[in-house]
Amino acid sequence: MRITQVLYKHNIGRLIKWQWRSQRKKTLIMTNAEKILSSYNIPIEDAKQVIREPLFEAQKQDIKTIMENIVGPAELPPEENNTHPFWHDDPCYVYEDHNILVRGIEQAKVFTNSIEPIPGLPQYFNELYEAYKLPNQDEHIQRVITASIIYDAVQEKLPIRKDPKRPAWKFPRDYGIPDKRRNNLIVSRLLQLCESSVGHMCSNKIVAKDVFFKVPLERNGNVSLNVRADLLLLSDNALAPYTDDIQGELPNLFPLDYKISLDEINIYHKNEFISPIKGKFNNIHTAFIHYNETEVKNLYETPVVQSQIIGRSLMKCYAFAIANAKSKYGEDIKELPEPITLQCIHTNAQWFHFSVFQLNSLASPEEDGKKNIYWQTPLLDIYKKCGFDGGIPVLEGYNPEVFKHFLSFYMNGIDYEHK
Amino acid sequence: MWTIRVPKRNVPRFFNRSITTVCVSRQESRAVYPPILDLKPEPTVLRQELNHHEKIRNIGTIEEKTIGINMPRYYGWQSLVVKDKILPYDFLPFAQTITKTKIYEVENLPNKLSDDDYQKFIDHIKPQLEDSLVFEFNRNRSRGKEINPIHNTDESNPTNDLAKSVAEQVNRIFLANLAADYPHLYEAQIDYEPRVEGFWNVHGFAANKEDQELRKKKNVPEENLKDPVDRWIHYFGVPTVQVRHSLPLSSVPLDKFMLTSTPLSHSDDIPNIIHRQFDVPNYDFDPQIYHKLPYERRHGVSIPGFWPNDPQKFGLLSIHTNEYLVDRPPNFGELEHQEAVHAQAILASFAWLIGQASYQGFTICNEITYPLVNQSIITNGKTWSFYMYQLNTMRFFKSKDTINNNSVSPSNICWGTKTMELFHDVTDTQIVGWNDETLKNLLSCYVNTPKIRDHEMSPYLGKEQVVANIDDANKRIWLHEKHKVMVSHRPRHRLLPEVYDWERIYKIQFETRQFEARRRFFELDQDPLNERKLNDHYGAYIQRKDRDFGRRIRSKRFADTYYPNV
Repeated sequence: MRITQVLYKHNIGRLIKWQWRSQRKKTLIMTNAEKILSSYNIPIEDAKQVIREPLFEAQKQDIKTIMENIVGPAELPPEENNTHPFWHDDPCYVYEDHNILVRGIEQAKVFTNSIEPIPGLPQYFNELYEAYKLPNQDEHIQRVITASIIYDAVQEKLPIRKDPKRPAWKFPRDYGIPDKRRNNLIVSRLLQLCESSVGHMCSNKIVAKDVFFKVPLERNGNVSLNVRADLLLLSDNALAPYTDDIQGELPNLFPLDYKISLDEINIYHKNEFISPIKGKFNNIHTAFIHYNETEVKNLYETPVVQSQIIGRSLMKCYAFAIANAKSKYGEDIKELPEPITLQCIHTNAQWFHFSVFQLNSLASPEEDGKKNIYWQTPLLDIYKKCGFDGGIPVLEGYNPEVFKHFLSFYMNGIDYEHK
Repeated sequence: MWTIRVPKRNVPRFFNRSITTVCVSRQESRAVYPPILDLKPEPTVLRQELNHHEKIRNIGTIEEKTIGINMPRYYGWQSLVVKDKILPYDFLPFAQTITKTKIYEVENLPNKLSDDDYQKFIDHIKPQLEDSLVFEFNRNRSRGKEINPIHNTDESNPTNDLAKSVAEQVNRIFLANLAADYPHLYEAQIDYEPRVEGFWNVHGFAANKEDQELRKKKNVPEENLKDPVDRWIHYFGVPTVQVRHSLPLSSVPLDKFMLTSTPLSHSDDIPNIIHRQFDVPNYDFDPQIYHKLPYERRHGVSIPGFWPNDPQKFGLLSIHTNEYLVDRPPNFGELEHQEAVHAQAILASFAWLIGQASYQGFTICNEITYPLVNQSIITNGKTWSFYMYQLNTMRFFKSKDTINNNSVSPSNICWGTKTMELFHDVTDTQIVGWNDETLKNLLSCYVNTPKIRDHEMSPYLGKEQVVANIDDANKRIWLHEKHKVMVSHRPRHRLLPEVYDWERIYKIQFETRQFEARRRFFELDQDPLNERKLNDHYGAYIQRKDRDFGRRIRSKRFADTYYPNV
């Protein structure tokens, strides 16, 4: 609080002035001690001759050693210019979790050198689609949705709400479940439901959370894909490739370069490869990616469109597949002995995007080699509306088809005929 | 307002005196007089407390009860904040006192399985567990080499990540393997890092100087100044994993497991060995000084991790991590570290159970009518401890002792094991030295099946149970929003009232400003922090265009509020 105004009312300035006035002259008070003592013939000695300031241990030491022992100010981090020890003149193009390709799926197809042979998933998934069903499937899924989206009691600050028509208007701050947590809850619980239903047949898979990959590529310059798989299903045997019939043309992006909208950095470690996949479970079965609205953004504040979301799935699939290939066959692998297939589920807890990716070659799009293959479904809403409406919890427009896809992805590769 | 004045002599006399006398004499025989009350200060306070609790008991919905508890304080309760991972030295006696818990350190928990059941499942589970643990312990958690060569800021403690992922893996594998044989695990809801809060009152702390000052102001007689005081405790916790179900775990047969301090008891097929027993101590020191626990002014909230609308309201199991042990000084001693883990288990279980109990309509003001049971596991990935907690009582007000005539009131009971290793070591490919005892304990926690109880579960709730079932739309929306705002602990729009330093100097210590109007709360003998009621404010302002068809009438300018009548 500013108290100046209040204290001006209470005029203490006059008192302070008087204090200054009375204290301005300091007169020395004469004690007669010296006179009296000398009258008794008592010798007078200077007190400073008797009492000395003690020397501290540190003062006895050599000044040099003292200076060495001083912990100085913290060393500043090096400046981020060409004097930095890790500065490279040729930039590295980085694709991270928050990046979005501006031309969406078309650009992603060129970047990853892949084509989409048929709309929808491979034929094989049609067999899987209705082959397996959980007991009371829809009830349990609705239970999971409401528990993750409405009934979770976490209340954290959500992003500031804005009305574009009234930009100056301030809404009361919303408190609720942050998007990262919401996505994590729904995916983890759905996956747990799948695993509980198959019982000990899930023994050939393990689940890893928050897995970080860093995949270096050479695409007319350094490219690094630094991506995170929020949840990764690893399996001990690889998924079989779906087709070797590869024909098709990459889309034409002219006048854009396919590396556009990647971040350019000059301070980096060259060819750094990070992948936690090793040991017995060295095949990615399914990667679960979260779409966090607070994280994923276009460079120019335009809203993210559907094609860009799909492009994000493809880019991440590509990164995971290459990381998988490199950790399986060595970092310097050029030609794959057999294609790498993985599945991907991309979600923001309302829509789900299911896709399958088959990595046939590590070649760049400029080389006229084999193409990779990508199958995908459109974005499917698992519900239309979920939340409190006038104090009543509401789940409207539940779509049972979405979890059937989820389950068929999970069951892929499990010998489910026994059941 | 206009009234018509009628001269007294013109009032018609309908009754003459004889009729009224007859009426009185007839009713005399069945006159019911109010009870004679003891009007001394102490019984009056006690009576007021009980009346208040009775009113809270009669509220119909869970959310309204939460608001009802907070009605006496507009700015919230000055409460002692206890957090799950902050365990100061010698914390167990304090944790026991504030939760009134007896803890038995035993060999076998009451939920122990027999060996045959154990062998049936463990053959499936062990290899899977081995794969997952080997993967987690050898996993590359790096996010790349550091760009900044002298980057020496505090790094996040890696053990938490490891313990968290190990706990999640173990939970996943046990659920998956047991779900077919134990359908309750398939139906159970799993919470990952939920928000658990508990709020309760404890009577019996020694009065400190401030309490005595406050009492002096209220003219409490000199001999009562040092009487024990109430403290409000607010617990905040984040379990790593929590499993819950729509049915409760059955209560532990106390005659079998609440043993006296005899070391061995072979009454059953499972021999139960008690290593140590901690009775409820009376630890009444000021926790602000002895444990450096902070006081914060907050609205009291008990949340077991989900909103009251969720049908799966009873806990089966909660898993916590104890990575804080790494940062504790080793000279505390092994025994003290063990006691810290016990304290963590007690506080976590108690807070979660009072959250669950409050969703059954019981509050800290109204005692539970049946016991609730919870199992908890505390781990750092390698070492594991197992606990079972039975909540028998959650009302620790002063009136509790007085009602029971200071007789032995029920205490909560916790059974816990010593910290034990799950395995000896992890290599690149396998796990060396499994400890079957730990696996058995893990298995028995999951296998413990919840059962339906044959008594009424929520006797203190009305037919609506939750606010969402209230028919009146205005009331429902108002209560829903009020509850969510109150529970969120968001800071108030206006700051708390405080005495500024210049006011203390120029107004309180030295009266130099007699000329000023006395408008501040301390000049009016008010104590807004402790006396302002929650409903002491107007409702939302209704704009003129929305009321009275725009006419200039000042009748109803503020919207209704629907605070419970407490």
